[in-house]
Amino acid sequence: MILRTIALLFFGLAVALGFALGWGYELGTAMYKVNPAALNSLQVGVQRYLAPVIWDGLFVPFLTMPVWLLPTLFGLGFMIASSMRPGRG
Amino acid sequence: MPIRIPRGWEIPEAQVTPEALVAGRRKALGLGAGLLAAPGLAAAQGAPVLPPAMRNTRYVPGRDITAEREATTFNNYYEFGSHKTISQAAQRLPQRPWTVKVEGMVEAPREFGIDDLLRTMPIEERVYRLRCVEAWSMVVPWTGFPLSALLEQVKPLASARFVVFETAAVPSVMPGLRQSWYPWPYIEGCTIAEAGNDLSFMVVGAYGKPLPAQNGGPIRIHQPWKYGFKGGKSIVRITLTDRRPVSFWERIQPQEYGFWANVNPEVPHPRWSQASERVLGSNERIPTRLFNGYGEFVAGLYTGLQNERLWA
Repeated sequence: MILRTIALLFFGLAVALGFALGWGYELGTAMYKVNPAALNSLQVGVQRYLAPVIWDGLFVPFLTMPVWLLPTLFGLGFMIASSMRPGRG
Repeated sequence: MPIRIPRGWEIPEAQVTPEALVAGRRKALGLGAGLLAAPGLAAAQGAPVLPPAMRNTRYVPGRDITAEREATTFNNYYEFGSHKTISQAAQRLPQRPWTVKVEGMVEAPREFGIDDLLRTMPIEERVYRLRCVEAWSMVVPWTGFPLSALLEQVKPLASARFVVFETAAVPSVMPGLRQSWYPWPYIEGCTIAEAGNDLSFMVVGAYGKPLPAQNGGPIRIHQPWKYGFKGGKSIVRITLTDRRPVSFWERIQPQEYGFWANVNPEVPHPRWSQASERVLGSNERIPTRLFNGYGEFVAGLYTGLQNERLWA
């Protein structure tokens, strides 16, 4: 029951973010609004000290997804977890 | 054992140009003669052509010229990525056709084709030092013309106080633009007095060749007394204005990158010292000089501006 409740809270957060920011508002844009320098430092760190392909192949797709999708994914995770623990979810 | 003293004109065998390259050059010269007979033909066919340029000896670099390979394979160009190895990716940026709009507070706004600029501007070669804010440096023989010569063409109004340089933003070839949260296009700027200084150079070539895309081709600005990020690359628009522009980096990290960004070894970057610089292509570190060593030409621009953040 607890896990399912958390999942519903995340779904609610996703809907709220979608309406508040717009359904196409990207996660990276939201992070940039909070702290522009941090996102830039992250990019420099990954591209220069790990590998450019990691940034382009993993971080960019993640950061360009709509911001509402992140809580939705969390919600789905909790929903799946609750269904795997019958009677205790 | 006889001692043989080489004559002045002798060079080591390893430096002799291979025969195949000489033959290729003869073919190229033949093609060049054809181009002289039909000016603009090569440009019309899409192959950038750089006119011959005399070296301006007023500006002495005082150091060896950086190897071309080093200068053209270690590049900052965020539209292609924040790492240094963007030279291959940058080749996707078409260099022709290319125009530069010069507009804003001018009497005669114009749009210049890059090949028209190459034909009409006073082209020359200047060997400038470039000091990156990241504490490395290089020395490059740039080909170009003074920014003031370009501005004369559009007749700036007396009310114009700043010059803004806008870099091309081409999402189809610039993967960095996928990061839409950055304030694209890349904007840089300077005062009208700085723009009028003879050192302010519109660069269209390097090492006697058209300026490579990764270095800002086909046309960029270089003001060698400032940190390198002030030099906007692949410029498509120059705007004269009475409002001080907020540049790309100033918008992202204003504590670290300001409007003036003049080189000063005494003023550290918030995260590292600016007292010395690594010479690109070596592990040698040399002391950084005030105004990157160009103080005699530009220090007077900043009289009475002590309250400004001139060094960041």
